[in-house]
Amino acid sequence: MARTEQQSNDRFNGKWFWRYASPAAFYPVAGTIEKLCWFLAISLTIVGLYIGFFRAPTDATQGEVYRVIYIHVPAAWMAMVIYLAMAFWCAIGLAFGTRLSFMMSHALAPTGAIMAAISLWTGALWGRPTWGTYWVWDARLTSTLILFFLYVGYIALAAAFDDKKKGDRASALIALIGAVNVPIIYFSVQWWNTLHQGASVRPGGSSMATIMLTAMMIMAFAFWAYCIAVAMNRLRTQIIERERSAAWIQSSVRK
Amino acid sequence: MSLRVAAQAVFRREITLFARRRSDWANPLMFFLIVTSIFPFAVGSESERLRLIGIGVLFVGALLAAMLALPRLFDEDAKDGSLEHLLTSPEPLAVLILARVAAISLALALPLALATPAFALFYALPSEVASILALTVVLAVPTLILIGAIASALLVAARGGAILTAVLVLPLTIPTLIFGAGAALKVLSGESPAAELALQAAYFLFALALCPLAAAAALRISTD
Amino acid sequence: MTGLSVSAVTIERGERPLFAPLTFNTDAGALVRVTGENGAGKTTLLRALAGLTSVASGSIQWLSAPSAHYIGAKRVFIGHSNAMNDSLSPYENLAFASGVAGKSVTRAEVRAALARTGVAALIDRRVGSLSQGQKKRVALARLFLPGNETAAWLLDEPFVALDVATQALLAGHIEATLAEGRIVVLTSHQRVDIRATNAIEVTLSAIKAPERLVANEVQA
Repeated sequence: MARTEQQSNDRFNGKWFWRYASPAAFYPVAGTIEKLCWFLAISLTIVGLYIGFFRAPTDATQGEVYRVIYIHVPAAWMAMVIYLAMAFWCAIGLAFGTRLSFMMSHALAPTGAIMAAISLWTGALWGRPTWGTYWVWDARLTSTLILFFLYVGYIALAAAFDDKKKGDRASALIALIGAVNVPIIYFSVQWWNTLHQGASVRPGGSSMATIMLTAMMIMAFAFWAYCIAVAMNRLRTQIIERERSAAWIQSSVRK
Repeated sequence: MSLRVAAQAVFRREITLFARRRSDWANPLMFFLIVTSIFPFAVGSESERLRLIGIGVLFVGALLAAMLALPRLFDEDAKDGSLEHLLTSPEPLAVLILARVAAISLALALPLALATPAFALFYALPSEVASILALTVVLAVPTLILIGAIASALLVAARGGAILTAVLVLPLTIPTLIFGAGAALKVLSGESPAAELALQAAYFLFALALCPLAAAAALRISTD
Repeated sequence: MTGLSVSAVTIERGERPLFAPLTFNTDAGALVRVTGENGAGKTTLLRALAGLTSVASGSIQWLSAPSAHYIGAKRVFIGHSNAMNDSLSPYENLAFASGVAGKSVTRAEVRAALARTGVAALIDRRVGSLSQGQKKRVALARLFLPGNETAAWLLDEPFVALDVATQALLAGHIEATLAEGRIVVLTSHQRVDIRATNAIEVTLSAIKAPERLVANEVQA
């Protein structure tokens, strides 16, 4: 009847739902998802941009410039959605120690950062003719800028560790801290914005024609598909890079 | 009982170190003085203009000065091995980190807050604005040290610590910046700063509840 | 009285295992010498025993008799670094080390501990002004801070930087503590004689390629 104090790490042996948490099992699945999403991304983009550029009418107040929303709004959405997805995988990774979750998060981060950057860039391009200036400290633009900083911090931190495993867990923790803080930052920026009387014109406006909305939703789905496709591609590259010493790589990856 | 002994040991050691190495708190203070005094060279010396930017310059200056103390949290201990004492302690690591954050905040927030009204004279700020600014600095510095504890704990085992600390910490200090400087701006325009102060205090309490736990987890990750 | 059971332990550094799964058991009062070439993971194993590093698989168990007053298997770990701040005195450093572990010590107790390694006179000097050997002796004085419940000493290269007389002194202290029932785990490149009735040697072999998974030798 001895009392014990122990460290142990073999939690997940033999449970069916962990099967796809193994990089080896997920590698081919990721390939299939990637192909499907590329197909969706390309076809939805063609349809969405066609409707948006050739079918949707010119905006009464903003003219042709408004058409940037077909890129700008989906990019801004994806920047937020991807951060949440990243935080989700980081939480799973920290809770269960699954390597694939961390890889998933690493695969998503650059795409999220690019989406934030695209949304800032197109926002500036839209702002020039509409507000008469490239940059306005509008609450949404400012929040997206801070979100971009959070992405940069995550990516830089993950790259700062020589020990990949430590880098995984450290960057996951900072992603979670960021996720907890995002609503607070959004709220405080909103507060700051009203305090300082920011601009009130927003891309799109409140009353959108149905056809404009349709084009924007199609583009939003196209962006989803694109982001998933790119993330899966990056994930596969990471799996190969990290598991290169494992035996299964030799047999299943030929090209 | 033994928890109190442990927390006191951490707190006393930090205070002893600050008392023995005055540069640890004097250098951030010096940095604060220099940063706040070079701004007028860039923007001009008309007191109207200075009053407009003064609050922002003082607040950001104090935050950047406090950033300089973040390596004090864990870097030195990681180098000389003293961190092992914290990590092998049977007492909860988060409490020990909190004791250390408290000591560093005290040794840093106090001088910076006391200097703020004096440096506010550079910017022709009325005395009631200067004193509310000192109060918000007292709230902002511990908030920054708490957030900084997570980043420095993570970066104990990483390359490029100092710059990365700024990249990780500064975005998360934006709420305290907005509410702290906002309170002073309200006073400058003759309104009540109560709402901003309450929100800044709320963010501090939020950091107080969450950051020591996260920093403890971070330290376990990076020293594993 | 505390025993130590290490079963099928592997530790990873940068996603590679350091040594083949390691298993050994000892009773109270045993001396465990950890040997192996550079990079075999001796220091990492000691850190894992101290609870500073997590194991990748297997388990480390400190077993204690149910009747004993059990407050967790308290271990004192003395690593390569002396774990002391240069700006503080030996007294301040040792009082901090003990305090963080939850036990406050008096100045007399610290002085007595320092006397065991012959450095009581240095109690108020700045650690930064001491020689390497003196620093090591101050660090080793941590072993003699009050705390009868200490179950094990984990010593990483304790004889480095010590003169021959002090090496013998430390060896004597280790023999005495073994007799009191503590486990001593140490790594050492110096062959210092320690008389122990119950001694085992654990040899770690570094893994260089995945196929070199040879079993570690454990000799009684």
